[in-house]
Amino acid sequence: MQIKDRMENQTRIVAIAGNVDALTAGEVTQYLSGRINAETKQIILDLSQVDFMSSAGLRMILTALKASRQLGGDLYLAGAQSSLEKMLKVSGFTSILKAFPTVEAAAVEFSNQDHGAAQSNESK
Amino acid sequence: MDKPTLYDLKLAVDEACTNIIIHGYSGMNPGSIILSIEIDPINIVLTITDFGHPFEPSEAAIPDVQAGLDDRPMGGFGLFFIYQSMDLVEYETNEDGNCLSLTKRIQNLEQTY
Repeated sequence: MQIKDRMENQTRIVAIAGNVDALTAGEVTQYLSGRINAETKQIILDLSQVDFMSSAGLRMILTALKASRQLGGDLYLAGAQSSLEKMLKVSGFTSILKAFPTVEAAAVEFSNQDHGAAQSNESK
Repeated sequence: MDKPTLYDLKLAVDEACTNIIIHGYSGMNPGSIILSIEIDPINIVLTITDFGHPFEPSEAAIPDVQAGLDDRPMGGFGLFFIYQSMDLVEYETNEDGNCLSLTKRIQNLEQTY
């Protein structure tokens, strides 16, 4: 399992590759908890290189999602492959968070929100 | 075998073995997990045997997949995914251990014959 991340327009894009299971999910949870804070609370999890995820991986997503929302941010998923996409759907995860086919589409959603928030601030 | 079927098999074995390690052998010395696989033209049958605490899968709580973020439990999805990914789940405890039998129908049956 490998983790890479980069910042783009105040959004942290975390790309995970390999297996996210009971052995490795803790490492991702720890990695994310150290990087979700008041400055970086918009997270995109790039799952396009994840070959396999178990329920331990879903717990990791839930923990990170709660952390980002508590700070007023959000976490989006991107690029989940078909079997993982099916897991997210049947477990109801897609009704509590947003999942996009690509990182780019998720980034556009964040930038639209930022834009909307800036506009509503201006109108106050 | 197609990729979705392989994924389902891996998911069920992963979740079952994780449950055995965390719950089955909880408070005991580490023990064995025996995995056997039988493949016939129609089914793949995975049998996972352990010697830890017995467990009744049908009595386990079913997670609420409709729950919102705040009400969503952190656990309980392992067994849910075993049932989701397999066609038949059977469990038996006797003097030979706890035996979880997972049956997956092989897809594209028409290609098998």
